[in-house]
Amino acid sequence: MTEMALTVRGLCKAYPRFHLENVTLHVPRGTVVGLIGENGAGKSTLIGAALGLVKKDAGTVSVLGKETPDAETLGQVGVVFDGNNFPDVLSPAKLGRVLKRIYPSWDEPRYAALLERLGVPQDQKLSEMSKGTRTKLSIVTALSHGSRLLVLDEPTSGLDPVVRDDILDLLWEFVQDEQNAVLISSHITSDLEKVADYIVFLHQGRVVFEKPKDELRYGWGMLRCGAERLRTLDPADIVAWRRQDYECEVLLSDRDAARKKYPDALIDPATIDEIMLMHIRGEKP
Amino acid sequence: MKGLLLKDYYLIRDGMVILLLTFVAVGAGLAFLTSPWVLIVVAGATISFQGAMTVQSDRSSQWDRFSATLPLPRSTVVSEKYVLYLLLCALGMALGFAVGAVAAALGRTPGPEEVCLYASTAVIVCLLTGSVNLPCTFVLTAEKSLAGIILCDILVSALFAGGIFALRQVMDVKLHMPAVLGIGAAVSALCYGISWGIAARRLSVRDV
Repeated sequence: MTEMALTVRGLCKAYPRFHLENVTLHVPRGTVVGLIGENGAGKSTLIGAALGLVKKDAGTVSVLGKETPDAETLGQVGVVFDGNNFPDVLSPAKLGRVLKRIYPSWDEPRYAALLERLGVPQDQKLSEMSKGTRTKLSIVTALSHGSRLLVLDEPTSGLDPVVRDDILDLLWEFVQDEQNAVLISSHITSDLEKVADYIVFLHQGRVVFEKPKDELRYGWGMLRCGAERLRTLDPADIVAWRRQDYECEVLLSDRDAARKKYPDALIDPATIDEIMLMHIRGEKP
Repeated sequence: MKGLLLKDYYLIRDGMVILLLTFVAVGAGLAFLTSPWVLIVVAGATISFQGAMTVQSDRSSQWDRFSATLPLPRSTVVSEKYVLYLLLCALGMALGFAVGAVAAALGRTPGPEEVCLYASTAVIVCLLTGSVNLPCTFVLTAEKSLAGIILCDILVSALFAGGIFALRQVMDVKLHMPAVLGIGAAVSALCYGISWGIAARRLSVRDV
């Protein structure tokens, strides 16, 4: 049985204008789980509730096997939020001195080595750093205290492809240890296509699906056809469809079966972006 | 908690140097106009205020959210601010005493009784304001908490003056000043302790 680094079951959290409803997700060890969803879908709330920053109304969260994580367990969770994580007046060197006194498992040589590898200057103030360098610092910090689980909320947003690639490399290396796991929320689905093993799609506070990325990328398909053709398709094959200016787009959950069933149709692999859009904007059969 | 205190030390260090230099320059001059020991009150209140302001800095840098993920009880994060405030209060009072002592040496030389009176006043002012200011800075936005702090300072000054005025009606305050200020300091310390206890319990369970 696969061991879970993070398990969320039946999580509910109500705000006046938004609520998370019965959210369940799993982050198996040795994997990267990508959390996708439009703005306001509840990704940050879900991450906050999973980390204990937001009080949940119902449901359970198990972090590294513990429903009530102790200090040792919390020390094994690395967290990166979008934007600022640390005060501007600090430099990486000062931040290291601060965190060394907080994390019992702080690994100073690893911190220094990762900073050097990613080209983050030790003595530069955060206020003088670019957003990319600050994000690298946040991730280096998360990787320098013996973390077993990384939870990253939009870490790559607003970053150029080179920095994003550096960050994705680090995440990929991290999960080479089968005990480690990553939960990453992102709007940049191409990043998730590179590193994620599973995709969890959150829409209006509910989990629409939680599936292996390969199943989505290689199993699902996008059929493009005219309105006439659309009417001839078996509704049982269709996940969602929408009418565009000159054609109709149809999301299918079994591309191979559809190819056999509709040999004359043009069926492409579906990207995660397309799958997300079709679920949000498309019509259900 | 050491790490959190170190972080706040870095946070206020740069501003503190300027504050201290200004204080020494302005305060030393002020000391010749009134009692040199008034600096104990002024420095204690001014410098401890910096501790309350770190709560707002933490919020603007999102450190408050990050600190909630650290392997520390969340009540420790709240308690650290109360400890920092006390340390800064003590530092301010010590500095006020040092500058005041230099000024006193150059001018008149009041007795230790006057030092104790001003020290007690400083404790009352710092702790009473701290017991309201600190939870305000945690709960309110930057603008509102600043307004709250100013209102609180006015309220504490009014309470202080009002208290003395009320006591004057029933006793000779000047004669019993040490006792009055001693009791005042004890009450302030009690208020601070209550504020600390409530804040650590309540603020550590709210959503970040």
